[in-house]
Amino acid sequence: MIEIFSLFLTLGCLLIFSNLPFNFYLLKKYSILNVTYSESMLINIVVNCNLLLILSFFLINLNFIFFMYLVGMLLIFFHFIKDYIKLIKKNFFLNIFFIVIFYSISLIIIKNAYLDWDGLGHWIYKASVYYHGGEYKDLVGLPFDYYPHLGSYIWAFFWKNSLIQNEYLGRLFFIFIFLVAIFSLNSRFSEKFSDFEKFFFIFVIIYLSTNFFLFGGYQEYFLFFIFFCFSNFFVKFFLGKNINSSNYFPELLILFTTNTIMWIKQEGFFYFIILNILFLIHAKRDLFKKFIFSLSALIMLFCFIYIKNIYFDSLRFNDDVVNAETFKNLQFEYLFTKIIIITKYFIITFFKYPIWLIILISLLFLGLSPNFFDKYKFVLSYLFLTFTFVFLIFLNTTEEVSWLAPLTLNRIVFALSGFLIFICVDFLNKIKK
Amino acid sequence: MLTKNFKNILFVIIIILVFSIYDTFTNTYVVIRENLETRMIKNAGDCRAQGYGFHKKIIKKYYLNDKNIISINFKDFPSPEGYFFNYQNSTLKNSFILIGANQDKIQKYLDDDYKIIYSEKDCYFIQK
Repeated sequence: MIEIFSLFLTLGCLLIFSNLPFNFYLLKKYSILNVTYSESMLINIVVNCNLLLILSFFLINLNFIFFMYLVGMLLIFFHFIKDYIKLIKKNFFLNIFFIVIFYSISLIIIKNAYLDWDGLGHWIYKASVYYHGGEYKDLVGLPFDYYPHLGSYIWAFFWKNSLIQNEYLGRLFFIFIFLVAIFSLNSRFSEKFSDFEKFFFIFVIIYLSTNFFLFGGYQEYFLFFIFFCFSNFFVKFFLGKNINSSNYFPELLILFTTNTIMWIKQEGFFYFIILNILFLIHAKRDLFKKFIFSLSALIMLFCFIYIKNIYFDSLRFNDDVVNAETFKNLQFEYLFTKIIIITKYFIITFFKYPIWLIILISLLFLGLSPNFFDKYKFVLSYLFLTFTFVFLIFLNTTEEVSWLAPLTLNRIVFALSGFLIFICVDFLNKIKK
Repeated sequence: MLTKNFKNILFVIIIILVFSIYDTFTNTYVVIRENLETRMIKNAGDCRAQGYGFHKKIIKKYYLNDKNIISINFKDFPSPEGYFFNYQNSTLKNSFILIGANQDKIQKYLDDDYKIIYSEKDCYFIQK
């Protein structure tokens, strides 16, 4: 019983984490941004990930950090208590529905409790260092120590700040951010949908995107969440009609979002570049602002490389960017065979994660209507850049492609789907018209 | 009033459906009935799969709570070492926990002057 009780306490901690520092009511009061409640949660999670990223380089007690959050939340909660009660009453069914799904998915993780391959192979070591009070330099020498550490740090943060301090409670963070992302789509549905229809479609999206294996210590849901946030913020703040270009907060938000992705997994380094290219090509901003943005992004990239150089001597990847395989690919027949194998596993992945099939069908359907791709050109750029990147990874790997692709390609492709989930809702809205 | 009641009933049905899809009632029962240790041994294995139970047994039996022990899993599973890792502990020298080691594998270690301290089926705790 204590385990179930601590599950709910951890949910409380996660809610605190997603309500600060840019609390919905503070954003509303000071007119910083016009966002919905769930969008404010996305913003807070991204900002807090960056905050924790900075703190992860210093020796700071995880309980103390959480204590500061708790104090802040209590102050805000009691200040806006009437608004909170009103909000809970207004969205009563939605809140219960969220809790029900969170509880159900979490319970599967708690029941199984064990970690899967990569989770046990290397991510847990990083989480364990932070859980036992270590700091960034203590990661040196661990298995795959050069892998980014942010996911493990946050895992340790919620593991440490839980009632019974079982490892799996830290992993509930990944379930939480996944659900917050999908539930935030609720406000994207057209008003023609009833609450129950919305619940149904939200549940379908969750059901089709859930892979319990990836909650076994993997970082893919974190990547999924960041991709989701990027497209959400980008559409909201940089493609809309009423863009307030004198407000720099959206740019900061995009920078925070892309910065987070770099510190989650190795491929995040390339995703960082891809997402920033997308921003520079498609954001409705003048050249000067884009120049400042590029400069800031470059500083972040430099910091990343600098820190990796200090602790791990260089920025390392599993394979060298240019290796023997790169030159082998110059043989057309060899290259062609590999492309066929990769494409095959791409197609298998689309069936393994049916959410991809729905995304592709939605894209095809919406693409038929005029003007869709005028507004959403960035979707095509995203598909082109990310799919090219995935192909290049597998073409360039020194491992046997037919062995590596079935193991890893589906995870990579799944994480990328976070960016395009909103297309499914747009598709449903279009049908409902 | 009727519409409101209908909505409430529909919502309860949806919740029950979600619970049954995710098998939540059974899972709740299992989590309440079995403690974490039991569930871990059941799912991560004793002397099978990840070998969690065997690793834990060695730590308990030989009072090695303040040591990290290198564990090698010869089956198609990751090593259970990560569950017990503490960066503040030193690694126990010249000692290994072997999970799923067949006769050939264990013989190689024995030829290299290692001795079997404890074993269960194909799991071994060896030391030089």
